[in-house]
Amino acid sequence: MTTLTRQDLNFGQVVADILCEFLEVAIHLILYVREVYPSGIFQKRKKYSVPVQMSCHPELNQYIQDTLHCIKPLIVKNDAEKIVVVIMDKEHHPVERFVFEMSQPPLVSISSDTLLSHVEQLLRAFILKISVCDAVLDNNPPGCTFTVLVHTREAATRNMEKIQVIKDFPWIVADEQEVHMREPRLIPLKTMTSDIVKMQLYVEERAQKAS
Amino acid sequence: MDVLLHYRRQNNLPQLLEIAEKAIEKFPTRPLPRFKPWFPHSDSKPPLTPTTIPPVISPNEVA
Repeated sequence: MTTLTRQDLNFGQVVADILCEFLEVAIHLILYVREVYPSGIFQKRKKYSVPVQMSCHPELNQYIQDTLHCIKPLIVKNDAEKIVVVIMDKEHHPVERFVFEMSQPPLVSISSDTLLSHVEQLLRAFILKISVCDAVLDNNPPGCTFTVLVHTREAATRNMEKIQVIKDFPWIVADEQEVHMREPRLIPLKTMTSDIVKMQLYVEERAQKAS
Repeated sequence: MDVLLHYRRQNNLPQLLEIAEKAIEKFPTRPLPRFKPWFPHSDSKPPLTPTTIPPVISPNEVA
C-alpha cells in the first residue's frame, strides 16, 4: 500500500487519472441520455459497478479521448475550475450545459488504496444521477451537437500552452455564442466532498428549447 | 400513538417489534444544505474549447 501526499508529483496525476476516466464515462452517458447521437452506436457496459452506455463509434471515441487528454494536464495542476459539456442546437446556441465544478482541497496524506475505492463509490452517484436526468429535462430539438468548455482558475490565455498537448487538436478561447445562455433553469444533480477532490454537477437548461 | 405493524407470518415477531420501534423513533437531522454553484459565471474569464468539432453521425450510418 502506497501513501500519497499532496506534495507528491504522483498525487495530481492519480487524481487527474481518476477524474478523466470518470469524465469519459460521464460524457458518453450524457450523449446517450440526451440523444445527441443515435442510440445504435452505444453499447451497455459496467463502470463503477453500475450499467452505463458507451459509444462504439471510433471517431467519436477518439474525439472524447483527445479532449480529455488535453484537459488532463490542467487537472493535474489543479488549474481547471469547471468542465462543461454543452449541447447545442442546429444554430450552435447552447440548449443544455452539464457543469462539472471541481476543486482539490489541501491534504496531508492518504493511502492510495482508500483513495481509489472510496472515490469510485462517490463517483457512482454522479453516474446514477446522469442516467435519470432525462426525467427532469425537456426534450432537445433534433440535430443537436456538443462541445466541451474548460474554465480555468486563471485567465484562459495563460493556460493555452498547457492544454495544447495534441498537435492536431487545437484549442481556442470560446466565443460568447457558445457560452452564453439566456435565463437558464438550474437543475442540481450531485455534490460530493472527499479528502482528495470536491466535485459538483448541475445542469443549466435553456427555458425555450424549441425556438 | 397506536401503531399497526404488517408482517409476514414466517418472521420473528419480537425481533420485528424491536426493529419497528427503532425505525419510528425520532432522530437528529442536519439542516438541508442549499445548492449553490461554486464558481458562478463570469464574463471576464471566457473558457477554452477545441476548434475541432465532434463527428456528425446520421442514424442511417448506424443501420
